[in-house]
Amino acid sequence: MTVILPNSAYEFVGSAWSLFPPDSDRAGLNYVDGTRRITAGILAVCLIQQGEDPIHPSYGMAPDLFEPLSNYTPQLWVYHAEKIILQWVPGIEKLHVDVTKHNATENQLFAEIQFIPMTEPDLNTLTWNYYAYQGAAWEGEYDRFLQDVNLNGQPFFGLER
Amino acid sequence: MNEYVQYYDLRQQIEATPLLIPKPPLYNFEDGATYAAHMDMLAQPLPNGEPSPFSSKEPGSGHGVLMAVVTHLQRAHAHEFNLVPDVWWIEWFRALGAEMQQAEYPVINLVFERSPEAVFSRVTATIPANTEIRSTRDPNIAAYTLYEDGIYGDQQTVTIPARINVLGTLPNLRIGEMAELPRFLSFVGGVQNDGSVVSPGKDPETLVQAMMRVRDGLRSGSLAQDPIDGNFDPTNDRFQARCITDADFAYWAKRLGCDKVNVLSAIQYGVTNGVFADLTTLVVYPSTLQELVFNSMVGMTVEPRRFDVRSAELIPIDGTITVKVIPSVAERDVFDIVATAIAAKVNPPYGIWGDPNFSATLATALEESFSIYAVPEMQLKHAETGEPLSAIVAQPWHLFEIQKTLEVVTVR
Repeated sequence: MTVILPNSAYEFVGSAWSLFPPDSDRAGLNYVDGTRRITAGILAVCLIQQGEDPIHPSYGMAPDLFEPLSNYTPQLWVYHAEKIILQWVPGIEKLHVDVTKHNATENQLFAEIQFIPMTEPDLNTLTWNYYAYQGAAWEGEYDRFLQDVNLNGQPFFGLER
Repeated sequence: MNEYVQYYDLRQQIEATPLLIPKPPLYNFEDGATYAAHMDMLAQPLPNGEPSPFSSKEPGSGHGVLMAVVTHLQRAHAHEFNLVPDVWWIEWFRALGAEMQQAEYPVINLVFERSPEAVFSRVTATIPANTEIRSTRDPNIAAYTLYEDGIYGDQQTVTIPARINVLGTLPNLRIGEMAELPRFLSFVGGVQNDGSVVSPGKDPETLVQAMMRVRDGLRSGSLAQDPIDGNFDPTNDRFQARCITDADFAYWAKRLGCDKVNVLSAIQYGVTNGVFADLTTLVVYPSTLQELVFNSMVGMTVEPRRFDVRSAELIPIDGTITVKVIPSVAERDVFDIVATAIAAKVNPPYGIWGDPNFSATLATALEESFSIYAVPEMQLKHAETGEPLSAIVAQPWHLFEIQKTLEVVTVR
């Protein structure tokens, strides 16, 4: 597996305006830093389609709408996810991506992403259901989608509630 | 049917002899550099010293996505600009009142000498207008006198301006090169150019130059026609100029001859706290221009705006600097190297207004010179009061000036 070696720019964590989740107490203005910034970055790179960002055309790994997950094996998904997260999300010291449950007929892929930030020696676990029907999930079953995104066992809402 | 044949004949002809000149893009837009600049600006610390909430430059962050879209729209805009034909810009400038400036011929001075016989017999030598004089070096260069003149009485020579036949900037000429008279001229012993230039000539204005000129003209309010009858005179009633933004104040102060200007908005000279929203204070260097700048520019300001011009205050600095130099540099040369770097980068008119990190600026300037690779220690103080640099509270009207009494210690 080809991994881009970390340099000084990749070690900086900093803080950011997170697009996830799009509705919050501050109407979407979520300022995240540290571990929460890395979590938001992983969610962003997984939910944005390749080519959506005009300046970084290779950014993102979301599949096309209505593309069935049966096209992927879990091993291939893990391979892509690890490579793309390490390439595009700065500030990760150690990363492990795993698929805990894969149901191709129902288009369900439960992912478990473990990472250690550069700033603190702390293992964090992000678990969520990676839908193939991204658009359908965001439009229709949004609450369920939000409840599925967990950081260290707690629902991840970006901003502290 | 015949039209089809003509069409394909024309296609074949154009492909065989292409007459289209590839046009360079008028507006070079680099989206990668622009995106990086946007993200860098967002990552700057806040004015109160707190870190920016947008310090991460991750493309998936909200500000990263927003800036990518902004940059993409800018690129699309730049592309639209580049599709506009040049002739459209030229006509648009004409509509605004700006003509493209034409090329001009260079004019040099030629010295005509009377022949010894004519001097002896006191005969006037007449040089008619449009007399041709050719270069002895380059057969393509010739000069033509602009008016008729003569060598009278006891005069040995006469100097007449002559137009060079090459349109554009003056070609390289040697003194004495224009010495060949193709046609015989009675009582003229010789001719040569003495090196003096009346007008250096001018190349035709390019579209980019015209754009810059029109931009400055629109900003200054006079469409770059501020010299009236060839004179730059802000006190003339016909002179039109206005200062609205900070950039306007800086532009006109520079036009009036300032080497360095600081435009302070809402800051009053000598007052460290408080906001004076309707006040613009200019700090100018050199200080001799303060009165000229104030008298010339007070009429350019809009009425409710208060205006003040102050001269820059120079803080003399000396002390001891320890530098590490490469082995090939002799001990006696180190001070000169340090002095050169200071004169070229640190001392006015260079340097930063009220520099809060003057030591770092100085060390960086020294390390940029070839032979100094480190500045391990610096003991700087006020050259007159002896106050250490750290105790000096720098204000935006202050400029630091290193004095000759600076001591330089070399470490190998």
